[in-house]
Amino acid sequence: MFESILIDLAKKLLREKTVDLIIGYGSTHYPFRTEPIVINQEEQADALVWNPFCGNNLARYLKYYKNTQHKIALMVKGCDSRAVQVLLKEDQIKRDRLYLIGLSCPGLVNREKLQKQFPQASPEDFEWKETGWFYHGEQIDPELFLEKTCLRCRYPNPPEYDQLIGKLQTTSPYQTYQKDYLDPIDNLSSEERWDRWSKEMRKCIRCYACRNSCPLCYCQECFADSTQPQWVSPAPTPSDNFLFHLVRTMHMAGRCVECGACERACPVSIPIAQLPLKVEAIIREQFQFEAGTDQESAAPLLTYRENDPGDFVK
Amino acid sequence: MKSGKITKNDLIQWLKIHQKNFLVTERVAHHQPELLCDQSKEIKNIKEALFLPWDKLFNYHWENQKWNVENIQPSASPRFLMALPCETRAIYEVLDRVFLQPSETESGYAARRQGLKMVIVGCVNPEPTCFCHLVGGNPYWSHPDALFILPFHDEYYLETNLPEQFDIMEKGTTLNKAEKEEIEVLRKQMEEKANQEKLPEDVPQGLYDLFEDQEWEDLSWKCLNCGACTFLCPTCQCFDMSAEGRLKGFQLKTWDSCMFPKFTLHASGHNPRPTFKERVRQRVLHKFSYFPLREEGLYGCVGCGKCIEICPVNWNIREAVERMVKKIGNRS
Repeated sequence: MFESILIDLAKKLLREKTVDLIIGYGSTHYPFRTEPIVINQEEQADALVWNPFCGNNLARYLKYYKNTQHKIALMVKGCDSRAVQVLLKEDQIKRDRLYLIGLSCPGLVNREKLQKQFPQASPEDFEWKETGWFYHGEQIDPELFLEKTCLRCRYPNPPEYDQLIGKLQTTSPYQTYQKDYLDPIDNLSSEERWDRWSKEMRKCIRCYACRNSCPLCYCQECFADSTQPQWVSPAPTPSDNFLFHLVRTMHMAGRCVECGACERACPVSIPIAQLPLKVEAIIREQFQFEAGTDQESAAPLLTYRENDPGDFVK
Repeated sequence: MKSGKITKNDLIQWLKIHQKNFLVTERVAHHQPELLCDQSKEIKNIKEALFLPWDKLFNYHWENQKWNVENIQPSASPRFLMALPCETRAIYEVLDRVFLQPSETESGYAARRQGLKMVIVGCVNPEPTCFCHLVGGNPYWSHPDALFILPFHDEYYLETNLPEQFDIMEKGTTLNKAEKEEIEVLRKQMEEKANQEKLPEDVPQGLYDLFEDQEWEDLSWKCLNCGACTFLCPTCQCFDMSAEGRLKGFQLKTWDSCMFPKFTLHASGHNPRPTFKERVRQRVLHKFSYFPLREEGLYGCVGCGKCIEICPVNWNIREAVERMVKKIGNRS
């Protein structure tokens, strides 16, 4: 239902030359997966899909077009739209070159959780309607399957879009489920937290999938790649892994849009989004600021006020 | 070739005796968790056992107006490594050929390789992402020097050419004629199926000739250029060297990835692989063209499908190869 509206819109945009290309999601040979695709012909639009497995943050691809003249249509969920707003604010692309296809998103589904619950299921067994998710006609509780980063989502609707697919969500998973991914860690003592993260950091192979899938990691040369000077050793030792992830987290402070793309990209299942999510939680509390939700307010780390809070400095 | 069968209990007993020296790949642990003992070590990727993610080669320091170099002797204790056929092929047919060339032997790899006894677990549960049959493997592929085990009528089938290395063979009972035939038929079926579906012989040269093809550009667009595929690939063997410390330090060897923009960056600032297109093409051609052209037709990919499984954007090397193969001589 959503897809036919999406495809009609995409065809119209290309036919009327409103845009030169569309960056969206396409299907793959494997169940419950999608892939990022780019199309520039009307007849290619049938390949577009929109389902709860569209996990990539497509704003990430805008950097390819920074120095081109293309007018680009982009499929954006709530979080992706926030990422676009941050990119606009940071002058990475101009708004008039973008056409945002807004997607009202009830939350992404975690493939592993789904396959555990329904080991033999194929995508045809499920139906996604505006009222929810159905397995063989029976409604299922989305809480069981949602990505952990989506369970705490506050912006299921894109704050900025040109055309919306589907109806605006009336509630957010954050309101519905009252569960924060960070609670279990916040409840740990600092020693327990250290042990936990040391264990996670030992898993990291430093493939940089987290950084490269992030829409807001667009530095021409990442500090982690710099060899002169060398800030972090290329050896994936726990201490160098810590250094990489903590510096990346600080670079994201006040900019992270909480999409969770980094965590979904991680090939060794490190809950890596928790680091920037924690920083954003502090910023939300201390500065009453959320990245990418409007065009005007200045990012806390890019501005100075005399009464800036400092309680988190220890 | 010595073969036999053993009860599940006896097999697990044997694994328990040696568990401290057992490395088990994540794939085996996932498919057959009963083979993983408490103290055996699970590894993400088979190559970690031989080709370390990072390694110190020698220490150095500047003293008395000269460089003092202290070699670090690679050490390794005899160990067992349990893996699936595809993963093991990565060692026998790819990594050994790269690191154990008579003219250029990599000493660390050689030291670890020498004491390593391989246990191959027949694959009974292929993943949807697997494609070993396209690249010369099959789910029952084994090597005579290894111990091959396969679940067989509530028991396990055993086979090796080196029974003196695997004392488990003493506990095995011989198969009767019917059982022997059954194993042979099973194997033959797998091999025949794999042979039928194997990539055509002209693929390595054909892909080589498509070096300048426009298609690489389309294929590479969505790639994020992270190193997830190469770091979790059992055959990817590229590494980088760096000196850690100015006047005192060590020579560091780390895994490197052809997906990284700096992989081929020259000191002059020139980069022969400046964009996604060149880097993605390199990954495909190294495995499916350059390596087989040099190594008697053996592919540099074993078809385990790990890179497809973990790719953040579902970049699919099998699909890419099949798309390019269609173009060879304009096949339809």
